Amino acid sequence: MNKEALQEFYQKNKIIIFPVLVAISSLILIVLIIYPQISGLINTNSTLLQVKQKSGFLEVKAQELQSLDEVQLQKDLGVALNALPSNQDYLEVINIIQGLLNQNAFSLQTLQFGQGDNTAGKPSFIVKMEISGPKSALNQLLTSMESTYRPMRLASIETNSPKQGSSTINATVAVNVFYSPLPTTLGSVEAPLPILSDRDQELVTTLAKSVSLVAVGNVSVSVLRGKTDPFE
Amino acid sequence: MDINLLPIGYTKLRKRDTKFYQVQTISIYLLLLLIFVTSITVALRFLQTQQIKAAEANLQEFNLQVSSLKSKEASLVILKDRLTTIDQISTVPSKQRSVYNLVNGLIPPNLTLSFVSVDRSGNMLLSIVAPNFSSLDGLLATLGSTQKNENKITSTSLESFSRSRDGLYRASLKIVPK
Repeated sequence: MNKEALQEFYQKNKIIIFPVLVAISSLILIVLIIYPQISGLINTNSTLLQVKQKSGFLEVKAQELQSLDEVQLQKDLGVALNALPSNQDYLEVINIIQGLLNQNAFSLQTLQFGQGDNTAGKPSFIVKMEISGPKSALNQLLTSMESTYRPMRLASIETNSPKQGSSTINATVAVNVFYSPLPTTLGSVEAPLPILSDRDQELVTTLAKSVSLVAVGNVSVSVLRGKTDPFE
Repeated sequence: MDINLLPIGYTKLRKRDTKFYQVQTISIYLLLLLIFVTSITVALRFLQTQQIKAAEANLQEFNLQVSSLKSKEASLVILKDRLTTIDQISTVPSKQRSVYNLVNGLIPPNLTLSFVSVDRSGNMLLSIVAPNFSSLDGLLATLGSTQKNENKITSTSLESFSRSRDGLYRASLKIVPK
């Protein structure tokens, strides 16, 4: 088929050939460019929104973290870790118990440590002590034990009076003392930042006061520890 | 009066050409419209890609900022965790202390407690010495009264009861708290 024959064929059928060619071109444009681009626009728009949301969240988080007073935070954390240490910290517990017994005029005969009974679903250990002191101060002692800065809960108690009508009392008291291991993971960057409520702030202040009170009390206890150099 | 001197074949050809030009015009407009739409979508896609790049750069920047403050975040998380735990433990007094304090407050002064025991489940055992039966009876009534025991006691049972030669009454009570 030569050129002239093709031209003649086109001239004869151009009213069909031209729109068909335009339709094919339009279809190619729609299928290969317009549809994929619009579909991509819709899909990418949701991704863009997600990225913007995440970015906004992280911006707020970074601002909140920057606005935190590092010194105060470390101080508060120190207080909280003192109150609820990551391990048993037996020495601190002995100091606290000794301080509370002294405050309430009780004397300590024996002290034993044992396995906790998992009260409140938190790791704990039992401190069992045999004590004696004024009968009238026992209630106050138990209340003090449960309200001291180191969380303790009465597990069991046995009391008996040595003599009829005596004002002193012998007691065997067991308390659950709590501790809390440090978390091994701290969550992802996207994890929301915990907010310290007014109640939390109040608790930190109360704990800080209690810790300093006991710390002051411990100064007098530490004086009784004996010579620094036993060979002097 | 119109006189058409054009040959019939030519008229047919002109009609066909006119129709073709109409079809051609519509087709070209359609094609132009599609080209316009294509260029708009491509431009929008390009703009969107730029926006995503900028947003990702922002995200990366804030990610780095938060990561650089990780130690502060860790301190805050641990602090919050400790405070929540301390609050949970400290808010409610133990069952043992509650029942001990309650019963101690209900014992009249003329009764003597010779032995008291509160076990790990909160059950309380009392050994009481009373000068007369009425005071012991009064104590049992008090312990059994939901108003006076603040509705904290499930049951009170008399485990043993005796009267000695010196005229004193001795009783053992078992108190089960709620």
